[in-house]
Amino acid sequence: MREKILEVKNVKKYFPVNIGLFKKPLQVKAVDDVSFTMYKGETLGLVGESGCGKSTLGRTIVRLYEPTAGQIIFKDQDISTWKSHKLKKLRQEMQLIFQDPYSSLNPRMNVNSIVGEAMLAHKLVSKAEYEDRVVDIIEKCGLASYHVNRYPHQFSGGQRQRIGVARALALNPEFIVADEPVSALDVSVQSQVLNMMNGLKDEFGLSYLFISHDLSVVKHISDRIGVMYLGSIIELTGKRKLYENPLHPYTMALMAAIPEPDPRKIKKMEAIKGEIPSNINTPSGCKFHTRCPYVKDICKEEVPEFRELEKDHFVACHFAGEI
Amino acid sequence: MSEIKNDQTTTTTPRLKPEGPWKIAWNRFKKNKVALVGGTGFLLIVLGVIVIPMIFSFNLWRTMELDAGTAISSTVLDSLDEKGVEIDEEFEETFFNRFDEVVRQSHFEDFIEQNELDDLYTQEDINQLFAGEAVGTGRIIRETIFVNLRAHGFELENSDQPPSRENWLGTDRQGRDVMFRLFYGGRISLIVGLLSATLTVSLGTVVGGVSGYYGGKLDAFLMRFAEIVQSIPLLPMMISISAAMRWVPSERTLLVVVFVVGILSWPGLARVVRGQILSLREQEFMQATEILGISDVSRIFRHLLPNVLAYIIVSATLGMGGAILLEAGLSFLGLGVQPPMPSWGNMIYLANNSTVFREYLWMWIPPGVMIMLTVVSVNLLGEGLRDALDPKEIR
Ligand SMILES: Nc1ncnc2c1ncn2[C@@H]1O[C@H](COP(=O)(O)OP(=O)(O)O)[C@@H](O)[C@H]1O
Ligand code: SF4
Ligand SMILES: [Mg+2]
Repeated sequence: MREKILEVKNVKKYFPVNIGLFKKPLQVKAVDDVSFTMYKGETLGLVGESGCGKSTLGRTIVRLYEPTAGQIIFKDQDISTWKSHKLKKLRQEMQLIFQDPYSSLNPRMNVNSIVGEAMLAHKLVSKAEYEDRVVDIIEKCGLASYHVNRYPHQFSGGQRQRIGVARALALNPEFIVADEPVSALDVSVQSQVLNMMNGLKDEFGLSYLFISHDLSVVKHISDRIGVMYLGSIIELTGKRKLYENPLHPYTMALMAAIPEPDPRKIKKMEAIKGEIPSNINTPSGCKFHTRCPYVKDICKEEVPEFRELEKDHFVACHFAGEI
Repeated sequence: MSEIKNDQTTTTTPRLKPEGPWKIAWNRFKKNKVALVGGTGFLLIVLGVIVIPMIFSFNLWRTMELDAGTAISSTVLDSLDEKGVEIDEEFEETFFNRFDEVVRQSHFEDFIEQNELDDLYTQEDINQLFAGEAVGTGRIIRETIFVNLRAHGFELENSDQPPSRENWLGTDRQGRDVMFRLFYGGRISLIVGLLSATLTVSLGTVVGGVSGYYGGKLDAFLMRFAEIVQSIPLLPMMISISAAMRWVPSERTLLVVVFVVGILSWPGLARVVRGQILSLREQEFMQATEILGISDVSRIFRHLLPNVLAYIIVSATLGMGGAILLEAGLSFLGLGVQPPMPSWGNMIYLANNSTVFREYLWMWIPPGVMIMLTVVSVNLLGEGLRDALDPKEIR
């Protein structure tokens, strides 16, 4: 029996936007009714085009944001409305790895402070043990002990991301949201960092929610993959199933866009046409209907349910399995 | 920048010394010739105004307590008092005013030679003053005056002297050494600049910091308030405040100037600090502090402040130049630091008199040059600091 670590139930995150002084305030539906479950020890990949709400979802789960609606159940506790004191405790169990290796490290702090600050803030170590702990962690993240006194500007992008990972690990969390941790890195460096993260997962017993817009990166590291479109997860299943048997037309289109090394396999579908609709005035019914080649009348009126069509294969399409 | 391109940690040698951002800024500053010139110039000026006045005789220092007009009046009144002459208030007032006029507007040599004293006061006045004394009363009064003035550090018979061996920059209208007043006045001008800049920076940093950090309604309120302050026309406002503060004793007028300049010039810095903090808050490392559960105090003092400090230092430096200029402007209009206390601004004020402007260049050109040198060196220093501290460079 797999042990649940996180349950996300109908979570929404809307941001108010005010366009003009006298106009009615509008809302960006950055995350719009997302539900899924994560199990201990797994890596769940989250893919989707830029702007579809991946980061917002990740940040809402780690409670950098408060959800507009819905529940986030972490280890059987509903954390969705927790406030300052309880949140501080939660920080020791959930962490976030950031995307930008440049802006995510304070340029005026050395590695020792960057990685160690949180340990002191949470009183996890005494001042005496502190430096050893920092060295220990950064060495596990592939840096050297003599790096502790250096400043971020003295490192390459890949090394900076390693520092970011070390910082997240300093509090010894169980669950980590990695928000595009390798997207800003050179392809050659990407796999080094991914392999390191994979190794750390086993060593520390971590579960990852791994966000990326790059299918090949997600494929490399994930056990299961969720596909996001315009604030919602539209398909979620195991890695192999998703690649071999995508059920949602959007996923199919994404797969078709990956360069295919085997020319005998015929592409099912051409790249998606049209623009992504605005996430302020989202399309009615199925959000993908403005671009879906299989669109029918019902798609414009009824929101397709996110249902478990086959075992462990969730999809939100009226005609999934029939296409 | 010494960026290490390769991700392989083994390629970076342990010998590479860790260089903190402040160290880098210092190294960069040392390489900046212009900034060094500015910094050295400013340092020399500061040293000059501290040391040079100490070389002069103690007597000169006493000229700071009174100006010649007041000194003369009180001398005469004292000696009258000694002789048991009764003085009514009305007489005392006209007496003071007339001497003031004499001292401020006339040439002291004329004053001595032409017996102006006799012209000013009718024989009757003087007889009344020295009832019973027959001898040339005008002369007696003059002698008393000069003896007592010298005791106060004035050498009226030595007024308006061009630069010489004794007085390198000549003497002013009241016979005081210009060089002494120039450097002593420099103290006043620099203190005004330093204090106003401190006040401006404190107000600007606090208001901008609170505004940017807490945001929301407080931010909206503070920024509207800053706009209002900023829209106050500086000069008329200063003139009004200074005029309203006329009752302040002259040794404190410089505090009024500091206060006025400081109170009116913080909004610019407040906006910059607020903008910086807003953009820092968007940086992922600030979000990281939140997710790491770092306390508010640490977030402000360890993460935000060190990253805006560069802007604050630069703006303090540049603000100081501005404050010195403002003080000069105010004092030139007769609204700033009041004589007998010298400041560069009120020394230039002497050039209002056309004789001084045309013939006694040594009285007003040196303070002008000093203002220029100070402001230029402070600005060069500020720009050098700005280049050296640019946080974008140490990413
Ligand atoms: N703090 C915010 N305020 C307003 N809108 C936001 C905010 N954060 C994200 N958004 C909007 O929400 C949408 C999703 O953004 P994001 O979650 O960053 O997408 P992704 O990470 O998938 O690229 C975007 O349209 C973005 O403009
Ligand atoms: S519900 Fe309709 S529009 Fe939406 S993906 Fe399925 S077929 Fe396309
Ligand atoms: Mg993102």
